[in-house]
Amino acid sequence: MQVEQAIFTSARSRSTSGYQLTARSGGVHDEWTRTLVKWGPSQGALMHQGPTAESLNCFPVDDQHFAVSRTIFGGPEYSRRGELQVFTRFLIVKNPLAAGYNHNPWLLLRVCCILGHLRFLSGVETELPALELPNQSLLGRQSLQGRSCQTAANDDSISNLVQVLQLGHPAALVGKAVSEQSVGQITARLSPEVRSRLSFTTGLRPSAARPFQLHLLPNTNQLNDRLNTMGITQVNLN
Amino acid sequence: MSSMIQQSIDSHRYLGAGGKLECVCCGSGIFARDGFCPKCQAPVSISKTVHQRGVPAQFLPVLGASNAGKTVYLGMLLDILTKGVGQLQGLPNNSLSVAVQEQTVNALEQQRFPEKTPNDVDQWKWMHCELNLNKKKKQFFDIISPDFAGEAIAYELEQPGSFSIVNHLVEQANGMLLLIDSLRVRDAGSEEDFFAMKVATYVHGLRSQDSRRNKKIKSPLAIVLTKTDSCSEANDDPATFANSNMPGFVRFLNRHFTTYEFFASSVVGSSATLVDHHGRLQEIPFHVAPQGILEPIEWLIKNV
Repeated sequence: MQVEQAIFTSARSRSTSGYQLTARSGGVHDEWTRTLVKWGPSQGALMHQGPTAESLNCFPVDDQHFAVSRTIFGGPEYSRRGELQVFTRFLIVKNPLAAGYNHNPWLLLRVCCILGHLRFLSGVETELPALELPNQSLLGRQSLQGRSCQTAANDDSISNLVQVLQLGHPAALVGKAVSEQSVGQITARLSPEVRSRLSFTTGLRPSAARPFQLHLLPNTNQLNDRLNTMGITQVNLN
Repeated sequence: MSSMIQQSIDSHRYLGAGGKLECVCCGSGIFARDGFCPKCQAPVSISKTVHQRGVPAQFLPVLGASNAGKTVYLGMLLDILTKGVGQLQGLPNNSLSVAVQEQTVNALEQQRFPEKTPNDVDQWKWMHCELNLNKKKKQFFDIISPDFAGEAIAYELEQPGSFSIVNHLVEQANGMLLLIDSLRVRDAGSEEDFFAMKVATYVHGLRSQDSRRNKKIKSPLAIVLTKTDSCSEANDDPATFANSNMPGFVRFLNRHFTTYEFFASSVVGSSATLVDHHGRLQEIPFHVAPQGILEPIEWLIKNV
């Protein structure tokens, strides 16, 4: 299946400076551009600040499409404040997701990462090509679920979180043990209907501009007020 | 979520929170317990403080492109006002204002510039400051302005409605500041001229809706050329500098605004560029020597 792609990062161009869509494939129209800009993470959006920080994300673009993306630190930010630019590469996929991906956007995201479609690009032209993805996942379903929860308490936490998500409420899985594998464990337990429309982020700071249904957070330091305001239920993973 | 559950949650919040307020930026109904207005994402604490004080809010939005110097300007302005100078004495009205001042002063003390302002509206810092004019003891202003992300302003200019908070604040602004990077004006061709024209056109479009056709905008506009420590031409005569380097913008102002003035400002006395092994470039301010920070505000207050 063919997917469109776009890059959102900080740059100085002829028309504007700062965070913007710096490159896109031909099928990314103005409506999608506005949505990607709204969801696009800018300075300070990554929870972790180390140079290897990463976030894998998924969110709806419109009624018929969703985007999977990877956010990392790129090169030096252009404005000479000593920071690294926050770099995000989006792939836009048609909904419903092919049955070959078990209606699981997390599975699709992992495949895109393995194929290198979400890696950092530097010095790109403003026009990108559309990409071809396989209609079926290259990965077995078992490998996506990751290791099973190591304790009964963690298993309960995941179950509680799944219940919250099934009801359509936003939730955050919080704890040092939280990892990207947690998303696999969660999506495996959701119904296909809920799973196929789940928006999630593994490493972006909660923000009203990006109303993800699922956040993964190492802790909630200085975030409790924001989480309460956004109506996000916190579930702790021990 | 079912409507019954949502109603129950809303009722609980209403009863527990001390009631409903009106957002001072967009006029939406908000709960006192909320963190941010659900429509424009302005902090509820600003609206609460304005309602509690019972003093009409004076919006003086500080506009400008990304990297024009808005954060540094606002932070230094608050720092100078809180210390009091001449006839002006300022007091921050809530913790958000203190955060603006703290961010800028701490960064400059560590010989660096503050971090880039994120695009997320709910991450912006806000200035909410009471200005006491000693001459007229009973007259004081409550000045409110967010520290906009430059990209938000740029997107709103290109796609009106994408950042509605810009629209709301410009519409009800009692006066405005437009910050322009003097170095970019001098060195980067006509880009700054075009951006400034877009801002002026946008403001004119919003503010002239209630006016008769072809009537000029009366709301005062202070155009502040920043970083003039490194641009002596702009520092010596900002109006002539603007006229020579931004002719389109100046012509538009003459045609559509009755009250505007050019100012030169800078915060650092001198600076240098550092390069690290990652290739990151960083401007290092050597020392803080603010100039031209208060004059635009004094002029705006006189003309509001």
